Amino acid sequence: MQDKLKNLLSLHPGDEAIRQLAELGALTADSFAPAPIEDRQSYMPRQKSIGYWGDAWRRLRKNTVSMVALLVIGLLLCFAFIGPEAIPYKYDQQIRTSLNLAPMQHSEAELAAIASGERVFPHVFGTDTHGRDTMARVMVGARVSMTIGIIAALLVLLIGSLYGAIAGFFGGLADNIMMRVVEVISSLPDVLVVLLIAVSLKPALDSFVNANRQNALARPLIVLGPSIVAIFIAFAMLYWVTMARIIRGNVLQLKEQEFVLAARALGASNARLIRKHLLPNCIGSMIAATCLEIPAAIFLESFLSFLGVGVQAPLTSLGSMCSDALGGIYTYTYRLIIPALVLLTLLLSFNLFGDGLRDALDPRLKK
Amino acid sequence: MVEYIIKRVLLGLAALIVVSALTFLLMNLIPGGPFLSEKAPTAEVLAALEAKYGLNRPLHQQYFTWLSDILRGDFGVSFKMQKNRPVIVIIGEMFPTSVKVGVFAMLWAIVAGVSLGCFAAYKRGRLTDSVLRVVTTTGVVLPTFVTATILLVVFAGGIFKILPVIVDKNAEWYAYILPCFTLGLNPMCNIARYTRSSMLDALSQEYIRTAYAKGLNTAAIIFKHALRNALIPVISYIGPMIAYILTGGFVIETVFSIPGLGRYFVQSIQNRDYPIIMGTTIFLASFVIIMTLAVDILYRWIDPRIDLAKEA
Repeated sequence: MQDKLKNLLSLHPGDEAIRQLAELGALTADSFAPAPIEDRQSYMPRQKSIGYWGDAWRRLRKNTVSMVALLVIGLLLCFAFIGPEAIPYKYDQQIRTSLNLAPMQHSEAELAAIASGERVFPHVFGTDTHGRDTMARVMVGARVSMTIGIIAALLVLLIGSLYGAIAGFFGGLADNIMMRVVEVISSLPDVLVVLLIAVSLKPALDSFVNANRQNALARPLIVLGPSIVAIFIAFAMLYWVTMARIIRGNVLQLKEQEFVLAARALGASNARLIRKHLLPNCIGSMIAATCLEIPAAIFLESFLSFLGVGVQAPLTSLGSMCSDALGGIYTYTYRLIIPALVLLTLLLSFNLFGDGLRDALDPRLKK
Repeated sequence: MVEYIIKRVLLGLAALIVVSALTFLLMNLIPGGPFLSEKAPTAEVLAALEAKYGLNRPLHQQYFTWLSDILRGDFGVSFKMQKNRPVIVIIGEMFPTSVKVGVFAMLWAIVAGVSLGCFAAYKRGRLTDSVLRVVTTTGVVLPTFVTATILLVVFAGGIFKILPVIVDKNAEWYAYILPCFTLGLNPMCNIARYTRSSMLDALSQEYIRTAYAKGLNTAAIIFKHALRNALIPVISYIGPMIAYILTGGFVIETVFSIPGLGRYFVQSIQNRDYPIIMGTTIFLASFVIIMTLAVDILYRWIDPRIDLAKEA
């Protein structure tokens, strides 16, 4: 009988098992008493459960390449945003006495100052033909490139996620038409169209600024310069399609889930559903895709600046510094190498970190 | 398949219309209009000119006239660079050089990329694989203008001086080595990455194990069995590669002074010669769209499984 009892207890206690146990007389009133506190505690989870972000962070931390990339991004951010304040030279400050200095070289005036006991900050990367400190320019160039990259990526995020969420949420004919638009835009040769937009919008924006200096719209144009605004417009017009596709795919899956039905049953409107329920659930893919959009924007900006339609003097960017270096390329090769290396590090670290972030936040997308 | 081709052709047409409309609108946005060059004409002359060329008509009518001109090959005449020469003639003169450089760049990119990708997949997890991964990842993000200039300094102008600096019309064949190499570098790294991952995929299939089991040698397995299937995803990269080679050509031709359409396009941008800018954009964009269309259809034709996979 003992064997039979053991056998029955190892089974899932379904109705049949309980009936048989009762027949055997094995069930007493004690069997239904509440469990003692020790028993209950042994069922409690031993450690705090790891949430979505904790999980992603754990996955990201395991990825050495991404963590190194993150560190490099941090260093580059310091270099670009704190650096220009830390060194005594301004990016557009022309020092007549120190033209064309090699890295770490001192001009005669500076040597005289050093001889008389003054402390002179060295031109770590040398100076250019106008006597501007190259390090200050590289720092500001990196700052401009990064700012453009981040703003362009945020524009893409805004447009792409809204568009994708609307297409995925409403589905049917609306989705069909909206996705055809996406297909058409993604089959355009992007760099060519961006080049065209940047070239032809610049004079239009210039004349707009000159005509309405007091206009509220002209203010950002004056601050940023028309060519940067043209880059933003081009980016906002063309590069949101990848983001829209990713978000649409996510929303298509999410909208079938019960919490959406529950929210709808509680009377949530479509706009509220998209804003408060669907988009916040796509946040992982959104962050990963945005992070990969930043190097794309930086790359494009440097390409345009190199061709002479990007950032205009006296402001500089890494691409325009490379372009400027072409003039004396054989004598002053380091003037190309330095901004090129910073640009390469920037692109590489953002790309690698973005890849790692995508794997960590959205493991389904892993290639 | 037929349905796919129709859909794809319609999309291509839509893309062409978008490009042309965008070009036309942007052209109209540029202040000053076509008659404003060094000497500004008087208001009456301007009005007469506008009436003569139909510029006082509504915008959509102007667009259709312009579009029909484009379709007949009339891209207008150059403003500044080669005054009054038809843009289409200039394009016809310059484009073959660009195509030559582009085709050689693509050939080396495909051959080297596929070989490196196979090699990396074969040596997966070993040091060679890791080294190749670092090299190709760097190569993918390396901007063309950086590689082009540095290679120019190292091999042509500065350190070794074994290759010519300027690649003009009468240049010997070896003058094209550097530009073609540089232009193909980025697509090569991309192809190597694609080939590696699709090759790894192919090598883990059951039929490869069968091939090993029946005693085939490794070379036969890799080249006859795995590579054939691994190459299919690589073909889908050819479309984007054409677009890349074309825009990369702007930089390469400028840096190496190759008399191709790319360099001319960059010069016309710097000189603000709008008819050339617009004509070249339309021409190159149509070229890319049509080539991508052809590659996409070819891809579908080579691998009919994709159709089924999408339906499932």
